[in-house]
Amino acid sequence: MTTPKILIIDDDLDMQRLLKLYLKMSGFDTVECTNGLEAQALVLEGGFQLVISDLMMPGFDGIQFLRWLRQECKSMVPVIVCSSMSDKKTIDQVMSLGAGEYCRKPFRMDVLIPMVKGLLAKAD
Amino acid sequence: MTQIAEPFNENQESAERAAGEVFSGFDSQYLNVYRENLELTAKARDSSINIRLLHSLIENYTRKSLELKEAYLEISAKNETMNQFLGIAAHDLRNPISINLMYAEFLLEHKAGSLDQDAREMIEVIRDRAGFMLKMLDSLLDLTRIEAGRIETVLETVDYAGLIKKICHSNRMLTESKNITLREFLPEKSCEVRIDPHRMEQVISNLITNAAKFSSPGTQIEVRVSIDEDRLVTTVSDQGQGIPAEKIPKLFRLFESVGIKPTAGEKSTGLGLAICKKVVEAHGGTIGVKSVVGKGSEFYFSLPLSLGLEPR
Repeated sequence: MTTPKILIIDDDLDMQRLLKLYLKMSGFDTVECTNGLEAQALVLEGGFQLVISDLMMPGFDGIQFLRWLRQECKSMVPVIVCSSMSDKKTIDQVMSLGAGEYCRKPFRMDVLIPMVKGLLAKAD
Repeated sequence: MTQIAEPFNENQESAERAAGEVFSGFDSQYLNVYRENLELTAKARDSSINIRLLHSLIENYTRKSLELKEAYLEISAKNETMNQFLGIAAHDLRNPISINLMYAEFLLEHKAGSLDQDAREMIEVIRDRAGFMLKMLDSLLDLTRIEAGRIETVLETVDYAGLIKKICHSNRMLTESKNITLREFLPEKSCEVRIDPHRMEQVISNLITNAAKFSSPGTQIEVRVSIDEDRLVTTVSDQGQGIPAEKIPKLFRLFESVGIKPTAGEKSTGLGLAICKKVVEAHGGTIGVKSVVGKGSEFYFSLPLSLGLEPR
């Protein structure tokens, strides 16, 4: 069985580093980028089993990326949105655009990792 | 006539005297007519003074209310800007503080072995302080939303007893860590209500956390739900230190410290009860407290059953 590869989209490099560290410790491969545009190019190259994305990023943000991923790219790759936004409107919008989970920052890794595993198992 | 009328204006008595002298030959009927005329002139003069006074009062009042309106608009605009600023500042601060908290957690959970005790304890302080700052920021964000009239009450039909059970369950870890018993007393018939469950959980959890904060080990906290005529009443009572009567009016105000010490040195943001009050009021309810120093406190809030809340 190949190691699942996860795309991390976050403009905060310190957050990227922490996500990468935890995911690697849990046995996943990661690729990181800092906004939705870079993510588009990476997704088109293919090979990701899951995407973890921030929402507020300069340029092409998380909502735009998610909309592109589901509506234009027609990709069904599972997405976990990690953001510090907490209003119901944002969360509802993210979920209706097809995110599998919403994880509010700051989060504990023992919350995120089971989400990752759960979505990967469902996708199988 | 005008020559004679002049001195008459001064004083009615001397006027009558003068009139009596000048018009001594005249018939008294004419004098009476003249006297009535004088009285009417005086009255007319008085009313014209009153009208002028009234005019200037109205003018003054109009000017003042315009000034007040302008000042009010100016303050409202400033307040709105202030709230927006607070909202943005709180949001932008969340990210770096989150990073601090998560890094500290990572070090404590995965690098504890390579840290000496001082380092571990210091990182614990970083984690706890970052956690406190986040709590404070979230409360500030909440308040700015509430102040700006953007309090989000997303109403749902909820089984109130079920909600209370869930809230008590999730707070039990905290109360048990202080060796305090948390018990719930619910009405026999279940009660479906239209409320914002997330906001209500925030209120009830806050009341339970506060009760635990000021209670000693071995005591009990009780959460009671009852229906009192057309109101759904929830009380959270403790056997803690109690609050002196003169401090009670300050409790629900922002950033007011009533100077009572938590039993385990817990920190307070000074925002919790003010938010509780706003949330309860946004549901059309009222909140209050009864307390006896040395015996304990009982916080209660009641929600009107008429606002879509129905006992089943």
